[in-house]
Amino acid sequence: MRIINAASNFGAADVIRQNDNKLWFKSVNIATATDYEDVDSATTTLEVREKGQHRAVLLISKLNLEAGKMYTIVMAGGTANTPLQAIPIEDELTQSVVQDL
Amino acid sequence: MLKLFAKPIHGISATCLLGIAFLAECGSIKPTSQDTETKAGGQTSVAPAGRAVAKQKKALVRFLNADPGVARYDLRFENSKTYTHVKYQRLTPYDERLQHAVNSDCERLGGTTPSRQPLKPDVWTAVNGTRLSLSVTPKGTWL
Repeated sequence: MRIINAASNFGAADVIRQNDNKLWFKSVNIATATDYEDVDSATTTLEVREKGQHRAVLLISKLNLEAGKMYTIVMAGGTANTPLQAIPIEDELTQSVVQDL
Repeated sequence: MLKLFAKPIHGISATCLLGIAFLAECGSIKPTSQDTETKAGGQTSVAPAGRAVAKQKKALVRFLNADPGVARYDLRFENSKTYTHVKYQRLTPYDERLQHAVNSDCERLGGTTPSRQPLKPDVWTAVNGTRLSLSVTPKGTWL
């Protein structure tokens, strides 16, 4: 999984797994993307917090993380008219139709 | 991997500054030998294997509108409209682009301040067969 912080009015973000309070991504700055990190495959809820804070500003609930897939969570919004939102993207390598020669 | 060349922006008002993040995807150092299936926003798309794209001396590019305003976006590469009317939260499928793309720009459609302006950097190079995600946000820093 990786995180992209595209919420221009939001500061650096921490992303925490809710059930055990484990910090998955620390201080993700605006307009940056983290590297992909290996995470446990499970259905989980993530909290997005302002850097160093303890209160969640965004919950990403019941995220079904399947083994072998790549997940990108894009943080967007956070403006006067639009709440902070998460845009999930799921990528999976599949069997190539065209064989390399 | 990814090489970016910055150029200055001209004539852009502060109210319509765009933040463009050029983000190279993990795994893009080595082109993949498998297709990539992507699910986002309830839609599914499939991109060809990086190796197959590399043989054509191309890279894979996709575009995400992360600007929550009412505007939609058109994205051009070398005056060729690549993506049109991309709504907020919409991720386009991967598109095969030449390794070098120049004079790319982005047009903000609708709303009260439609505008057209260059991406920054507006010249970029991606290694053959690699994948690149472009995200547009309402304002902020540029990578």
